[in-house]
Amino acid sequence: MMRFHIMDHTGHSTLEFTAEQKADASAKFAELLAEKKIVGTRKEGEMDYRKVKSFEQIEDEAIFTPARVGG
Amino acid sequence: MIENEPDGLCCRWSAGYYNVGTDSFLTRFDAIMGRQLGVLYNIAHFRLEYRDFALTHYAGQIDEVRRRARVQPGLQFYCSFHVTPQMLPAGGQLRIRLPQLDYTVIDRTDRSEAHNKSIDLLRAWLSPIQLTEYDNQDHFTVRGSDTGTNYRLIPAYSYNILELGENGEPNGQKFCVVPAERVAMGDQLLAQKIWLETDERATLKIANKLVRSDRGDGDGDNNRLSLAEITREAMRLFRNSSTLLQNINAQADAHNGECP
Repeated sequence: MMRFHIMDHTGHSTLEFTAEQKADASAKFAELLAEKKIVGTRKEGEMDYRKVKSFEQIEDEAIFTPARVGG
Repeated sequence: MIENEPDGLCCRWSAGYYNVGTDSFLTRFDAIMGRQLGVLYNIAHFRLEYRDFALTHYAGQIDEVRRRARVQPGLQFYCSFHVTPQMLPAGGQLRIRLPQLDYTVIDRTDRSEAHNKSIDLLRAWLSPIQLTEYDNQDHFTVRGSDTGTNYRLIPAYSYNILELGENGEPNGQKFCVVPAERVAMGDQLLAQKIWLETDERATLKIANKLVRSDRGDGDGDNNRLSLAEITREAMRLFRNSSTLLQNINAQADAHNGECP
């Protein structure tokens, strides 16, 4: 199971994809990455925040944060 | 003027208002009022009598803020009093307009479902050390990916990134960079954590910055340091420009010599 956490006004939405839905997850990843700018990931269950550039870098779970602006 | 009180409350005069509150609120106040006024501290009208007046006539409200802050240290409370010269003793008489409506104690706790969801996600992604710090102190520390600088993230919607000094305490430098979309507090904190831990330099590049000493011991030291740095940079630029002008003049003289 792959999880995408997308930050929004609801206190994040979570999308889940099964192994069979990998193509769908990849397409959604591309869409979110274009909009959300940066992603945090887990790696083998540990914290490993990286600026993800490709879908293959995500092992199981990712967070998509909105674009940032000066406060 | 900032006064730090033993129970952790901060008191400040700003633009004629006497504010008593927790640090998170005062941070927010800076961002809002500072921008509107164009200055961070407008204490042109400050007089010690104002403070004494407020402390005397609003003692009950201030005590209420203290009481609530002690009972619920993780929340933000404040009260604000508008004090004008007309309210001070004049001609031996005290002209008092006790503005009951000027006094407010606000419980800023967000108990919405979105807030709770976001906090759950934040807690799941904090490291064990960060989680312990967050549970005990309602804030946590992240390490910048590029400089290794430590930052304290506090639950506030503006200027909530506090740079920490070598002693592990805030050194007065604050940053404000938030998600472009409005998100719940937990999501905001998690986003800031990810940004700083993966892309510190780019994050702080677009952040609004505020230099201030919160410690009450030498208020303004950071500003004086910044002024000294600015002066040095100006002197360096001046020397460079002077050298450049000399070079241009020398080249012009040489050129004139070649073409009489």
